Amino acid sequence: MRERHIVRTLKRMIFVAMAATILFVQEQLLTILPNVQLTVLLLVLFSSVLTFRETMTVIFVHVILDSLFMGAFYPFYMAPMFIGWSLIPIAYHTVLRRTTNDFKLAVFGLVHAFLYGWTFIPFVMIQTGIYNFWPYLIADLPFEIIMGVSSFITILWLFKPLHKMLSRELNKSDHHWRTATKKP
Amino acid sequence: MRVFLTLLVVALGAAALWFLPSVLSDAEGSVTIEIYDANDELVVRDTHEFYGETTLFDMLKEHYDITYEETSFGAGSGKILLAIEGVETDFTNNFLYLEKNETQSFYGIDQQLEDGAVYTISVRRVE
Repeated sequence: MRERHIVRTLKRMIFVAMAATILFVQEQLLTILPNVQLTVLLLVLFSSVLTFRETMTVIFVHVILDSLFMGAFYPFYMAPMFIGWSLIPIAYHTVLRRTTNDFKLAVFGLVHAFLYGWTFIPFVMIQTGIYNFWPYLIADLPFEIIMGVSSFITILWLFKPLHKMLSRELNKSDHHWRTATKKP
Repeated sequence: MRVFLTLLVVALGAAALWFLPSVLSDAEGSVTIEIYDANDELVVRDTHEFYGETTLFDMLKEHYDITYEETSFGAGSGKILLAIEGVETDFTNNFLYLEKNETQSFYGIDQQLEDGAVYTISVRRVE
């Protein structure tokens, strides 16, 4: 029983590490297209198959890696990024009530793009010392729209098949372990 | 249904991006900033757009390398510009003179920007 628990924990740890890697690599690959990304889709997906704590670990690792790689290991960049991405697992486990309805999640992806952009505003205000809200809001709107549309489409088309495949794979490896360790 | 929703969101997104500048143009304005050094040579001449209520100080701080000090005059208070883009003043022997549309500005850099205005900053000796 204890061995099974260890294997299960190990498997989930490996999955969390892989999730953080996939998240980071896809974001770097898509940096050529401003705000077009699979990050929101993947975080919604990870929130649906991982626990809240595991998803937050993925986000924490992602923010650290992204900041190191982009050369901006800077609190005024990292803090809003961490808050912005954390909104996904927080919303998933609260207002979204762990739904797997792809349409609801796609609408959430659309809304999240704006929430994510707005989390940066107070930090940029403190950083620049300019406390005029309007320019920040206006300047970011086009990018929020692009991010929202890209999140909506990717979640609507890819969440269901990915969720099905990931859940099946996680259950299958659990089943394989049970079969392999079953006494004759 | 998915194809319809995808096309709808893409169309709405594209329309929003297309119409956004014109919808928000009421809040926009532009000003020209001119900076002259102690030899009366033009160092900077730029035109910048601004949104909503923006002060000249906000504009200068956003686009240029500036040095300033917070000061108080009696009941009032404000910011004094000491250097901008390498054009400096010691505030004893010379000062940075501000003009708005080629006439002496009665307000300092804390004034609200006016659409179409030309703000000129130059070095003047104290006489």
